[in-house]
Amino acid sequence: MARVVVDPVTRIEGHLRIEAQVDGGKVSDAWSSGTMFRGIELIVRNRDPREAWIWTQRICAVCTMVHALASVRAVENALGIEVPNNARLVRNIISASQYIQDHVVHFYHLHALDWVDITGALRADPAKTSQLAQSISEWPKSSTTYFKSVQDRIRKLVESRQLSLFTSGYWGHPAYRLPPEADLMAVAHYLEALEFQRDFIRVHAVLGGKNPHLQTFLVGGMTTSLDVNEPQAPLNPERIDFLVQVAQTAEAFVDQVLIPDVLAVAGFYTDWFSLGEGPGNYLSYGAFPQGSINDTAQYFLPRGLILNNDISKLYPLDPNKVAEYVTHSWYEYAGCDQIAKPPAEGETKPKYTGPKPPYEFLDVEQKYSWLKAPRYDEHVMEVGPLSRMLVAYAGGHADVKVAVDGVLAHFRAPHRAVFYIGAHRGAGARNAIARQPHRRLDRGTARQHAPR
Amino acid sequence: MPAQRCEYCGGLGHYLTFHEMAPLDRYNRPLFAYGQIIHDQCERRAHYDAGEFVEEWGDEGSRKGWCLYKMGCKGPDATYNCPTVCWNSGTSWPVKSGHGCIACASHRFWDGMSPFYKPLPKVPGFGVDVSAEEIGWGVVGGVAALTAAHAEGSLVRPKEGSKDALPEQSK
Repeated sequence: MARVVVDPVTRIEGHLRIEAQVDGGKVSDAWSSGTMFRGIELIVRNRDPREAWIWTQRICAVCTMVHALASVRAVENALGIEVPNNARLVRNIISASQYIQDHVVHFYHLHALDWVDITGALRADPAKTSQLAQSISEWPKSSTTYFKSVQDRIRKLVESRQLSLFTSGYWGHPAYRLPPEADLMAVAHYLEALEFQRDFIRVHAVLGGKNPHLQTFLVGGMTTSLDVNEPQAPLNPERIDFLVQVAQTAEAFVDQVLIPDVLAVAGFYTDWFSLGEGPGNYLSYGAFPQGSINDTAQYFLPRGLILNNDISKLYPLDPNKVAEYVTHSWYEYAGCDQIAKPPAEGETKPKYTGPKPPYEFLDVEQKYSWLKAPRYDEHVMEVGPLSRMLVAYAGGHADVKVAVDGVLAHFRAPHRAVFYIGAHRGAGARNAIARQPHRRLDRGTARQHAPR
Repeated sequence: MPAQRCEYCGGLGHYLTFHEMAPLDRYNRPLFAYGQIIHDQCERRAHYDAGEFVEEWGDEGSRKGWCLYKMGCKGPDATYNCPTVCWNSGTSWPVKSGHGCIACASHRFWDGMSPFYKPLPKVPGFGVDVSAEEIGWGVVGGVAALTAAHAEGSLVRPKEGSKDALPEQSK
């Protein structure tokens, strides 16, 4: 029996510690601890609500814009404000672009090194790599010469003994299963993805002023005024044409690089289709309003929740059923620490009672994290890309069903595998779906060309 | 807000070439990036000078790219290179996309620049084309005040060892 500690967890944003109890080679129990207190909900108190989004956005610059959007929507909800249609479209495109860029970055730059052995690329045959790449995709950057040049670049890095961003990996570990050619292809695409995400996020610069930390949000709308006749308007035909071009490039990269790579890599790790299951409950607030923000039935990605892995039943989501526990968190609630409080009655009074560093283990019987523990109707709920896809699937979303069923068929996987294939397929599917608002931009633009 | 990549590369490049740091301001920021006030680089400055301001979000001025001073822009108080270099491969910056500067790269910006939608008080050097009464201010800004504002942001650190060196520069 052993207690394994991973602190900090790397290749994430945030501050996370994992402790796991291991018995006979299997994890028998585990605890996660948020190791940093931010206090942003305290900072925004007594400030102008119109600027709360500027503060809350600084929670994270990787998931930039999402907290800003949630923040302006919260104030708009409190004040009964509906945003103009142009603002709705701009917010939807900003959100969809965030999904696309973020999922590419997540798969390649955060997650891929769990599956891809950088040093494996050095043993690859560039000609066979070219054949592999061309067998799964039409992506033109696939010649033997190209993969040889990538391999040379990696070799030079490894031989310099300064591994740069590949330092501290478990290179050569037997848990890596890709053939060397797949490693080399994935490494090449990792490097291409660095450039892709830099170029694609210019969409956020046009619509948000900059990325990270977009700055065109307003309580009540967006600052990106549109005028087809004004050269200095934040949005005019030149800016919109630029957006369309960038979106088209993104479509090609997602279709021809990201999705084939996800499928290729997953194909070598199919036993992972039965590992890593969450609590079996999935929650999504939905996304991409098509009209009023209050008309949740019209959201492009639906709102709802799934319980006990039963995707035949989609339950309606009632935000009033969310409450937060601090029983095991370093906070005090007035009165009693053992009850859950809904966010509208939330309290954030930090009180650290953990061990004084340096320490070996947290006392998980007591308080051990800076994160409160949210529950929906006392259920633990999983959220994120997989949840959004499952909720959409359960809600009968045609595009999602096609994408998810297609992946399951590709792997000849049982339906239950949909709960494990997880974020990557979810992310890939969401990328495919998220391109839709970009297509709507064209049609929306045509409608909006009439001066206000 | 993370710094522009040109700062890291430019700063390193300068050091590797000349074996000394690029000239720095009082906050140890390179002058090539922080040496000018955003207001002085802004592409909407002509509208400020002409007294053409956005008065309400989405109005005629917002579509014509007029000055965002009245919407709280902190450009006159901010030092960085956003209007010149822009963000994300030179694509845009907040003012160009319609929202005022919040001086997010300034020293202690959180404590000093909020409320972000309240106009800065008494910015000197107002519009050269219009009188104070026309743009609603009762104060005539002085050149001295403007110079002081510039000096505040661009104090050059004298070379180490020189008689003008600040005490904290000696190792």
